[in-house]
Amino acid sequence: MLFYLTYIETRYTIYLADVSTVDIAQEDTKVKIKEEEMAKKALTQPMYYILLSLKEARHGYEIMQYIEWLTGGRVVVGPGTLYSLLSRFEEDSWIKLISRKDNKKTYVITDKGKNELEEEIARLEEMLEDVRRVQGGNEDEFQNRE
Amino acid sequence: MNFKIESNYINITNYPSIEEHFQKMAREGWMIKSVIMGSLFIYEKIEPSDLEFSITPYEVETVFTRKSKEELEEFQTVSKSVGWNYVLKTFNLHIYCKEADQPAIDLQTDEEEKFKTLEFIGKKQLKSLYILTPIFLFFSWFILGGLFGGTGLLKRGSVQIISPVIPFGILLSIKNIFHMRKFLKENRENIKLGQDIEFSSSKFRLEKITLSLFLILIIPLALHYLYNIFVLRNKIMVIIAIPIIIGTIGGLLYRQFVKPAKKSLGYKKFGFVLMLASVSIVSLLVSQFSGLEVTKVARTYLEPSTQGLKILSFNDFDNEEEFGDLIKEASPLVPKAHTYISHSSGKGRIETEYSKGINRSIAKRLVKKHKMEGRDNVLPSYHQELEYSFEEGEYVSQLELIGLSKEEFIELKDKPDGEEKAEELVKNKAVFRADEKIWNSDEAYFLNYRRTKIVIRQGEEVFYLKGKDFSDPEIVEIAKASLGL
Repeated sequence: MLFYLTYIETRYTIYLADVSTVDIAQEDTKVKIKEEEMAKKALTQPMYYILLSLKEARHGYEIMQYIEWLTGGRVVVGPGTLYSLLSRFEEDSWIKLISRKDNKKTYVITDKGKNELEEEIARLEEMLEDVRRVQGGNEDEFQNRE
Repeated sequence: MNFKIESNYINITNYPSIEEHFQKMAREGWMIKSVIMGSLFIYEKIEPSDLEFSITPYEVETVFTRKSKEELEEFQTVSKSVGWNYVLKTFNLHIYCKEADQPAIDLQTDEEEKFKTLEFIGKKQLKSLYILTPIFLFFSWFILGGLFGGTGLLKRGSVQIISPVIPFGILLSIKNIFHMRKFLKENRENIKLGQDIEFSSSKFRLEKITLSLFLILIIPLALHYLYNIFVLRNKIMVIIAIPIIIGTIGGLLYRQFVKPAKKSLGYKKFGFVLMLASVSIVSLLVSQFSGLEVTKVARTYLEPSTQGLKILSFNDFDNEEEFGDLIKEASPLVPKAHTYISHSSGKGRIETEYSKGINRSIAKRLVKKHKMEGRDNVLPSYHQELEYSFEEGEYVSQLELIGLSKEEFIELKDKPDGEEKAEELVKNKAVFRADEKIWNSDEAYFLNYRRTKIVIRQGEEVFYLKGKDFSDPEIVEIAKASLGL
């Protein structure tokens, strides 16, 4: 028994000694980069429109109607998609519940959610700007680049 | 018949094929009414209808959260307003239907979001499988090992009833892990490439067999417990049931009040740990209390009568019994069994274990297991004495009790494998044949060197006796008269 304990102690002491502070820092950085990458990932279309619609307080059915109205029927969000996303947004504090009345929960976007939405809008604007540059005829500019 | 029961299987990896199945059944005049444990489908007779079904994942419950009734009602109301009527939910899958020709907005309108929801649910199922599968394997090994090894479990009905499902359960737990991992991995790629989710086309035969078998066996299992507790008044079963009842109550309270509460995740985690800790402590205390104190209460209120039972007690010898403990039990293989312990201050105790097997073969197996136990039990009790004797080269007189004489010890002590040979000798001397004719029985074996333990079989009946010198003719005659041999 004593031999076994000594064996375990030696084994793990060696392992711990092998891990330097540099290794730990590198691992932390990797995790941070991964988190940032995930955060920067583009929002899906339903995510984007639900967050956009919650700039004003709305309940579930109203969100669906608002999105349909806003996009002229181009984007329709089904209840399954909507309620799964509302649960996830609430869990991640992107939206918050402000009232519950007659089986209807009303939500509004939070500052965290606004940041996510603004980042997405900036990304979309950059993409749109790229389109404008292509449409404006930037081939010469590309050929004469340094 | 206005209803129909079907063995089938639904989970997040195959539900679109179940939508089609429900449509087919509705056209044949059967409407799905209930799904039990995702495997037993109950239909109600209707006029054959052209219905369209839609099943959508929507997480209802996790370890720390649970959607309230109002939240689920809101989801159902909104789904109704876009054309879908709620039918039922099974775990995290919600089943809706509509007339096939009626327009409706799809419940899930985005493939990527649908996959995220499935992935969220699937990952949680995987986590549970990672935790529960090793626990399940451990208990399976324990139960199946016991079933083939000891006498106790041969008489334990719950183990006999549930054991047919265990091999299937082991295979299913392992298969589920691989199946879910494969489903999530493949579809993560599909979504990345902008393709649709690919659902499983498996027939899920193993799932159907295992879950149906489990649901079929759960009824005899419940009946077995109720019979043992209420008819046989088995104290052990009552004590076993206490932690189960406390655990169930604790779990229900946590599910009812903590999970749906609008509190932080930290608060809920704290609630979960607190619930587990308090349930464990209370169960432990109650079980301890039951073991020590309730026996007195049980003796007064729960103790079944010994009248008509084949038992041996101090009263059969000298009327000096102080008190006796009786436990009656029944199992499919041994439908009639009881253990009686007769206590007498200063004289120790006499034990009678009576078992009546369903046939002679079971009775013979019981005898065989008693013999095995007799051999196996002799060394643990005298291991220290044996080890000390061989290490110090000095004979310990207690070894005489297990049949190792001083002469035998002297002969073996200097041999390199002397201790092993002594152990083998002691084991061989522990179990030996008694005279069946004297006992009017088919088989009789002494189970220790001192002849204070004996197993006797007459037909399907097996008696295990302990506590008297069963080679003494006077004691044999008294025991035979008391046991009807």
